[in-house]
Amino acid sequence: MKAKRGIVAVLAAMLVISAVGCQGGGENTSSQSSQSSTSGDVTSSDASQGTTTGTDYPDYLNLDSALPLANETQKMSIVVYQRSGQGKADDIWFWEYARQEMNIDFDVTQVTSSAEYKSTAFATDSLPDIWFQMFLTSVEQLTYGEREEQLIDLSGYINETLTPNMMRIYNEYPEYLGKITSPSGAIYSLGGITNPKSAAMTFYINKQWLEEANMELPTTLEDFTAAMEAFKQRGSDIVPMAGDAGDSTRYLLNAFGYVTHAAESQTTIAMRNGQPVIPAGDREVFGEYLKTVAEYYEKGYLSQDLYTIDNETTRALMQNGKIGFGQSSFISFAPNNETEWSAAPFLTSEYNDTAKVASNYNSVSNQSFAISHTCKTPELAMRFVDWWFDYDNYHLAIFGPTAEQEDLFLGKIDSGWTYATDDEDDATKVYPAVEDGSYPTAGEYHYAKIQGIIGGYVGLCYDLFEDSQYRSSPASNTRGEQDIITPQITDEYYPVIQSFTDEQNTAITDLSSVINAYIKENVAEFVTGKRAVTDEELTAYFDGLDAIGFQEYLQYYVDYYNDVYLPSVQ
Amino acid sequence: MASHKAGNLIKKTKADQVFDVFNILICSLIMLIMVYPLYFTVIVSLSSPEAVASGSVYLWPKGFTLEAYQNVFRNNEIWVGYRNTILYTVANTLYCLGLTIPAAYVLTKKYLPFRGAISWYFFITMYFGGGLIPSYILNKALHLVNTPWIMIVGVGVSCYNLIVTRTFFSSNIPDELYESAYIDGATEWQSFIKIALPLSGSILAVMALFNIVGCWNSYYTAMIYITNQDYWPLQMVLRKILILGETAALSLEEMSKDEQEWAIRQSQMVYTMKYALIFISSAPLLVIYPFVQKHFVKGVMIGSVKG
Repeated sequence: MKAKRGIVAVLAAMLVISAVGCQGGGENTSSQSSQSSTSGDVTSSDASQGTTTGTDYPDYLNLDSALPLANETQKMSIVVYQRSGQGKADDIWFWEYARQEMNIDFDVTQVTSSAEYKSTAFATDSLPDIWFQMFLTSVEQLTYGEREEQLIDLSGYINETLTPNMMRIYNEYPEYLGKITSPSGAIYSLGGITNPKSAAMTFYINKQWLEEANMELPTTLEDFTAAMEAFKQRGSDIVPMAGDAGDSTRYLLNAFGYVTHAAESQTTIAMRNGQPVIPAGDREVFGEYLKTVAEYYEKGYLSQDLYTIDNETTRALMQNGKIGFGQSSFISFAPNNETEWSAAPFLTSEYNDTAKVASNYNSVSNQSFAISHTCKTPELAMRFVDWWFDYDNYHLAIFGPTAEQEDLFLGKIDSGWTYATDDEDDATKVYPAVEDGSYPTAGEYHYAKIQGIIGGYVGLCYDLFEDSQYRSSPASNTRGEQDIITPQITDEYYPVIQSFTDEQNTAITDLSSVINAYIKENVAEFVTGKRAVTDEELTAYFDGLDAIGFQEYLQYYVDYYNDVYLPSVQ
Repeated sequence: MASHKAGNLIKKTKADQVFDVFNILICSLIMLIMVYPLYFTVIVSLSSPEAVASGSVYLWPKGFTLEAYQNVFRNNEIWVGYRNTILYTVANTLYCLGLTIPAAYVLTKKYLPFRGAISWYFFITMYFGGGLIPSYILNKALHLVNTPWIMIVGVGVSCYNLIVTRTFFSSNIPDELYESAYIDGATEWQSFIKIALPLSGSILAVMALFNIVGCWNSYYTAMIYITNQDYWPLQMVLRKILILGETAALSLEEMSKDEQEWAIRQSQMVYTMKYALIFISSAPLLVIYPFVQKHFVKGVMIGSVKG
């Protein structure tokens, strides 16, 4: 018996030692990565010195012309986020283009779950050379870039020699560079530059119902309320405003002067009168907003299942013609959505003199391109991403070659596109592969054959300098978006790219978990009528918010805006 | 009380009849609750997208159409996924059975040296595990990542299955049977092949079914370790079509007109295909299950008997 216990003890000890050995392997891995990252640092510092002298670039780089990017074929590994409908890398024209025209033979890894891939790759230091459209958040960039040194600092590679296209943009618009630079001055990821003249959110209203009620498009909160009342008169089963508590209520929040865009708009930092504010903690106006929403809920303008309704139910209501107002993600399910629906202008009110909506907050993004410390050719990787920052190149990558550019078919595609008409203002493209029925839509053809990557997230995604050889794809105006919404667009929104320090991120996360839960619970009580929206109750609500650290929480964002963001864009 | 006279018809009392009625009603209700979702899946997959989106499909198909199934079968990835899943399921099941059954048999032998320690060595794995990252490092070092082998040899022995099988062997096959074989000159190997295995039909069926169901539905291992679509199992293909397609139309205002058109069509197509995909992926298991049901029912209780 004693002998058996002894044997068990020995075996248990062996298991524990092997478990420790596993972790020891992990530590070895990180120390190896530290050593490797030191090599990476040496490379980047060399490049920085190269930046200064302009002559210390590897011989394989072609700096004499736009293409090829390398004098002889170089191999690089790249990981790409793959969406449904996107073809396999072997079938995609763009990767063949890179191989033949850029002299870069990419080993493409397509992943459908970027979160899991990032976790395992960073934890095991099994990194690709390039991260492409993998949506590296600000926190991940700081963690894996600044702290773990697994992503290299790209700022040393952005110069006139290596990245002339990017420099052309940043020389003209230095604030774009400021938006993607961390507080320490490093850049760990790049993204895309899209047309800022598109709204961060768009809503639509049933104009046929308005016509039947002899009403114009509402431009004030008062007119909008009257329109919702008219819609409600159409039937007791009508739900004038679609969606849950994070959908249509954003439109109402905007009417009170909050420039916001997030789904969790009440708890996300926004701007009002040029100052950062978290709407749900704003004593000045948020109470009035709550009164309005509570009134809407009581009168049935909002779904009585506001806090539980799901997208499928909303789609069903839209499909059955029971909804008169909703955001863009539901509009596709509305019958006759191109003829009976109109873009809804944003509203003025007693508390907001100017109707405005935040411009596309992804107009300058930085989550879609990064270089790992294990990459042996970071200069070539930067030349590759710089290629995307020329609009004609971007256009070629997204839409493929024209019918006349047969030399660019490269054996991967059989035909190129042509313009549908000779009208210089019409950029509609015709694809033979769509015309012959091989693909139902141009979008499916793009994803399956041309680029297999999402457009709009890397590079210069629109004709910024208006010197492109291609006609620009028309922005959607099917329901009056350009005429109605575009004039209301403002750049006065809180920066989406926020680079807080680790300590700040931890504090913010801790505070937000408590504060957001308090806000959601109390706002729901006010809206549903469980709690009266009186001055006394509102005072108690705001006092409770302050008691759990709301002012400290808000101050992080105010300080970041005043001390970090504004100086970087000025 | 009903009469229990042997040989006479047992006449049910009124209480028995009332009980029977309630029993049947409750069991019917439970059956409906379990069967209706499956029935709903079938009728929705045969209905038009508009009827499904409007939520008007309840008891029978509306706007009968086979478009969903046509869209599914038109997708070559589905067939590749099917092929891979069948391959992984068969191979992994044989692999797991090949390890689990002999291990369980051996652990029933009281004269096995260090039997207790070996048993504990297996049991500890029920409570402690390395986690995802050490597993990933190990599989990468073994060059299993992004290969079909990761789906086959990933986990060979489930300790729970091992215990159940061991309990079966010790409870259902008396030691005297082995002793009589040894007296006749049988070796251990012969007693395993010619005595234990032939008498283990039910446990083999149960373990095989557990493995088959687990393999058929698994996708997490593929999601973590396999990026090459040619090696994807069926569930990964379905996930790509369903989950990724549902997010297509969420940010229409950020897309070009071509992309909007694609995104809207994608989200509506997914809406229709969802139920067809559920039915197609579940169909093989639904077909197989009636044939192994009796073994399954018997085998489920095996683990409850203490050896």
